[in-house]
Amino acid sequence: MRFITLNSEKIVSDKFDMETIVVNLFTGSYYSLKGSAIHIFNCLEFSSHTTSTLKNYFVDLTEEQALQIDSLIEQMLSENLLLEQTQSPLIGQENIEKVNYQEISFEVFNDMQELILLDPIHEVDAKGWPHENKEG
Amino acid sequence: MREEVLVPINFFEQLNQVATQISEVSSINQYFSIGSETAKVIFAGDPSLENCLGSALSHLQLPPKKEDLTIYCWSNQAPFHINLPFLKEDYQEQGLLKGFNNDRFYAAFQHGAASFVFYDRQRSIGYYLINTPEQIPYWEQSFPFKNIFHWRSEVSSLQLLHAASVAANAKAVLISGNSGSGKSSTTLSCALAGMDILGDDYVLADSEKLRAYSLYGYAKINLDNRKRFPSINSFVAPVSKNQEKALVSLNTGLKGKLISNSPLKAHLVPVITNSTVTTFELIGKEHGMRNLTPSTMFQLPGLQKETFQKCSLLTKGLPTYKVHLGSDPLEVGQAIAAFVTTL
Repeated sequence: MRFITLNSEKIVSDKFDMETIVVNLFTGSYYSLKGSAIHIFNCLEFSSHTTSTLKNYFVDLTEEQALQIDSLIEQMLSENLLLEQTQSPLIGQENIEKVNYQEISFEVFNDMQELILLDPIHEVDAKGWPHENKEG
Repeated sequence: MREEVLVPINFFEQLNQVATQISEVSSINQYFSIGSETAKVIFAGDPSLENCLGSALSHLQLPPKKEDLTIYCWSNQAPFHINLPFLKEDYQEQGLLKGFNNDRFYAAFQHGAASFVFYDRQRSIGYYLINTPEQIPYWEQSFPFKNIFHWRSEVSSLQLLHAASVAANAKAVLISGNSGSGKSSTTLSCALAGMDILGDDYVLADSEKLRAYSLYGYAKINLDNRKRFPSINSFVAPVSKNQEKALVSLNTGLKGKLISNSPLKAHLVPVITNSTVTTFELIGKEHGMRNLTPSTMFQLPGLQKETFQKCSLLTKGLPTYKVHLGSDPLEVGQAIAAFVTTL
């Protein structure tokens, strides 16, 4: 069974009124989560889950809505915002408060990556002074 | 050779010895008000360093007094030369130097600016090491020592922000945006309209007390944008070949003036439009967060989590407005001045 959890070492996040903003510290990419993506992120903040247990947090999901949750999880995994685990204790789901599903929005912003991937150092002179590769 | 200095504390000890030696032989000491602290900057050796890297801070100059932070700045040339132990594989993302950043020390190479910056938290001493003064790019003169100020802010609620700030009637606003977003043009427009200026590219802000502090007295403007601001041409520093932006001294001649600090009342997100009139639209604070925080986090090396948290606190404390910029700079400045007085 595949369990998923937040990749807390590599991300920072905060909640605003209608949006959760997440930043990947290692890639510079940042993300806007809206709708039920916020609730899924909140659930993962406190416990590991399977996609099935995450879906239990919603009232009467349609097939399409369930597929949107699957898609969100796969996107967040591919962006390294989530980690996969093969074993994890599940929290009890007997008394969970179910919420209505809201259209998921997951936006990715990559405009900071160039600040992280600056010119690499290609040589260091006899005094230890580095020289950047001006030709890229 | 490499093994002797692999331990960061040994390297920093050498760094401190060389800095002390060179400053005893020849130095210019300047004191500046940085946020609520006093920084003593020791320009050691070559006197041209003070002119090159001190002018951006000249409006914050103080008489000599007990300093909270010391910065040594010198050119790494004989006889006061330190061997740099870094191998090419030590240069990591954002210039951070592998193995030399820990609970006590920060160390980074500034890509493009060809300078090393180091900070010893325990001693509250920063070291700014260049190869030769001729290699300092023009833009580094507009925000010297910013990484040291960033690292220093770890001990307080202050945060260095990649943002501009202007004020009227002791009410300041942040103006955030990446390069090309209209941030600098908006700041100059406000200066032309007589507003007070705290900074164009970087300002310090207290994330808890919601107060902005001026840091640098230069604005940058794209060369092809200068024709929109004909009245500032006499304050533009000479432009050399391959320079894509001009430096504008905010210390001299503009109708607005540099002020040291002011309470923050709002966060403005400028948007370039074809409209003739500038308008303001209240938007969610998450827009301000996205506009301000990632560029601040990734322009400055280290402390990413702390920077995110302080930016978040600051952003949540300020209403965010999208500013649909008009085409006439003076109209933009006057509209923002009038808007700020209503906050």
